[in-house]
Amino acid sequence: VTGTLSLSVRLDQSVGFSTSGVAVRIESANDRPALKENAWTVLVPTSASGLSVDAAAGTYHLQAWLPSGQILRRSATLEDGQVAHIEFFERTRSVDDGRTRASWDHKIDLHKEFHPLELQPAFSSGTEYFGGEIAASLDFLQERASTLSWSRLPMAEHVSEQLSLDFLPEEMEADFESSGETTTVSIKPTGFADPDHLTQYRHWIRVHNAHGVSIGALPLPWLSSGIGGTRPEIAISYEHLQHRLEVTVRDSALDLLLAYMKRGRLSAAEMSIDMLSHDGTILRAIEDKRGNPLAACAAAYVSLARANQKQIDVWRNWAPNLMNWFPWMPDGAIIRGCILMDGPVSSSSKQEILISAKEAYRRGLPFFTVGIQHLREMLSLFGSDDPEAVEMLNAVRSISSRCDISEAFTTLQYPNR
Amino acid sequence: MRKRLPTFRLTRLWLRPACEHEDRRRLTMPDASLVFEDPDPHAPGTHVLSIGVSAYDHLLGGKEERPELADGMGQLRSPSASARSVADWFLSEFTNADAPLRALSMLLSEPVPEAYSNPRTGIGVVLPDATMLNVERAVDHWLDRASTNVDNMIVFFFAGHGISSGADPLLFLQDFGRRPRDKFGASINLNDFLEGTRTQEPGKQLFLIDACRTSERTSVELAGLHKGVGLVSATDVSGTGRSLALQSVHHAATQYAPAYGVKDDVSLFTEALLRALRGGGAQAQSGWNVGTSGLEQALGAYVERAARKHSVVQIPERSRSQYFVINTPASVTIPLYVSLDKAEAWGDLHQLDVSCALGISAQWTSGSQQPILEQEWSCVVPHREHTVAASFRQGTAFSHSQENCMVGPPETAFELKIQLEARS
Repeated sequence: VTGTLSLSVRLDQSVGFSTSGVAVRIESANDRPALKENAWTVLVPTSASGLSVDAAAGTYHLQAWLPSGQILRRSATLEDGQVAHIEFFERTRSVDDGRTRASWDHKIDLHKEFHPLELQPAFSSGTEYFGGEIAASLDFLQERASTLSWSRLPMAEHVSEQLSLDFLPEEMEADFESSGETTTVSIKPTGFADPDHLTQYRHWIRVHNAHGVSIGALPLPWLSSGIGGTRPEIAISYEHLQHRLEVTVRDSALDLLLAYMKRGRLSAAEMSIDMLSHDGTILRAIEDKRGNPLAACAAAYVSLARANQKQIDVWRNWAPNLMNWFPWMPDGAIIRGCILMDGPVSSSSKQEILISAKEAYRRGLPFFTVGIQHLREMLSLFGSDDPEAVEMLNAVRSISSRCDISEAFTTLQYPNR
Repeated sequence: MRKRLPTFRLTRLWLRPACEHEDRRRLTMPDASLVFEDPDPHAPGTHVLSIGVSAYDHLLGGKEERPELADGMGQLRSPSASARSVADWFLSEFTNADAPLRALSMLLSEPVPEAYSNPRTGIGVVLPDATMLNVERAVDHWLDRASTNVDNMIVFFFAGHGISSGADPLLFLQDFGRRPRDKFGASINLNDFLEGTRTQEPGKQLFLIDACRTSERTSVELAGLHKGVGLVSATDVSGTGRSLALQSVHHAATQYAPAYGVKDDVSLFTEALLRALRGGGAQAQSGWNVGTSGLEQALGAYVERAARKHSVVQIPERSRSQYFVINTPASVTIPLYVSLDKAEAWGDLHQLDVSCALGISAQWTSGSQQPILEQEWSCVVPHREHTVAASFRQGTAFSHSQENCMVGPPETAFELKIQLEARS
């Protein structure tokens, strides 16, 4: 006895999160225990077509985890042969979404309390941005990643004078657009992107403004993949008023994972991993050198964060490959070390963890923000009696305090003193 | 009449000791922050440390105000109430068969210290202030008690001022700014604290951080620097056969965002936390226990809704996300939000009944004191299938046929389909 749940999702594009799909958890609604077999997760495309799911007649609770952090809930009663239409519509936030950072010169009133009857915003942010002036310049950095990356950024050796693609590989093209308040750049491959070419250098976007410098890691190697026949692209966005730099990847197969990583909504990210693992997307991402090891790292980081033993066991086999096959990628070595930290740590595995941590450090700054946190922990927990590790830890801690942990890709702040 | 523990005098004297041989003295002295300890503290269990900082000596309005250091930060009134509420809940409602409550300690910074009355015993005790020195002592005792068994769970609750410097959240204690040359000497570096604690014996570690994470001027000063006190140094677990602990860290707000509270009442986060622990965070896949994943989801739902009610935005965030069970609620109760698909019908509504097989779960009658906010009536009902029925005043054009609604965690919103009679 089945009916159909017709699911659709409408995201509020103004909140700045874009993804090709949203994880929706469907639970058979009753108040008895042992419901596990009656709960499952589906990926609902954000396109108009949505997704149709056949389900047994009954009542269901559905929860959609939106990349913006909102969790939308719906209930539906399905009768035999019927179609129940369920739309998840993201509410537009009437006020600042709270993620907007306090800019470097505006004042936040930290009197966080308010009287319940006043029903007024509890703080007001100043309106004087840049002293009324909006000014920032963007350029690209290119470096050969090494231990020096930890100290010399944002003053990399090779810097383009203008916003041009001189330092991007030839197979790339970029669209530049500025609305006054926001500058956006999208980078996409024009043809076959040779992974070796994309990994020879590390590339960063740098923003200068009156208050300092922000830099963001560009995951260019991601562009050499194209799972499902789609062409991924990198989207850079800089909001002048709030000094907010954001680097994202638009990839219909995998951007869901990144969208959730940005918010720290790892429950939802884990579900997306389950789905991507199930259809083999993640394995295809790493199964050969022409795959997408950065996507694999994203998946591995989520598995580690959730301590999902089943998934960690899978990564236990793949982690050495992530580290050894992709020597340009610090994150592979970090994941290798993290996997070794799962479970009791023997004296020999402690040494392996330290070797992985040092190798990661030597490869330069991680692509992923979460990688910096893991590296810091590895060095802190297992390197206290190793002078080289202690020195590395100090550098990692310094970078960590510059890091915007709300971003999936490493984004650092260098305010003027 | 409240009884006062004989330790009161000792507690007050203990706040300002000579600091020589501090480490050695620390563990030989009784724990002044201890509110409750099980007669068998070595059995596996849960050890709670709750800290609420409402009084800041050197921030605006403090007893030794230093405006040049305060950077706009002042006194708070909800953290103390929040810490007390969390303690009340653990002492009176917390249930975990594998890790029952073994000990609870608390530090409270209040403008005028008031005794905390233990709901189990009714005995009142004035607790130490949440200064760095007292927090260090309390953390040592807390971890000593909890380090008897890898199956132990520890819970750390902090309410007070905080900032975020990059990935480093700092939590400010009562004496923040005590030494101008080391402004951050009385603040906790949360990441260092988490790293160190992760190497300790208790295998499950829950951190609940009810503090702002705004990046104001002070945090800009901190970019590239490593400040604050980690409280616990990492120990080398290699070769011990012990795993690193599971940790779940729940922040009241996202990075760079403020957290809110209601004056003289608990914060939005704490209110949501208690509701989640009482059952809103229960999940089917956790056997209807409240685990760390369910807590995350319930906090997300409750805090966002409560903040919206006050015209602010606050979204809780989780920074370490490992799973373990926290609480087995005696009964799972869920917030139910009832709305009408015809908003104009509210004016003619006479009564709303929400009932289940157990009887009437909730009821609203026009003229009652229960407010209808934003055209939505809220109630808390058992986790069951319910029937919702609306009745209207006689003579109105509106009517309603009762509808079934499955109420499930973390919350359920249900819109009634109201019929409108056509009239000639």
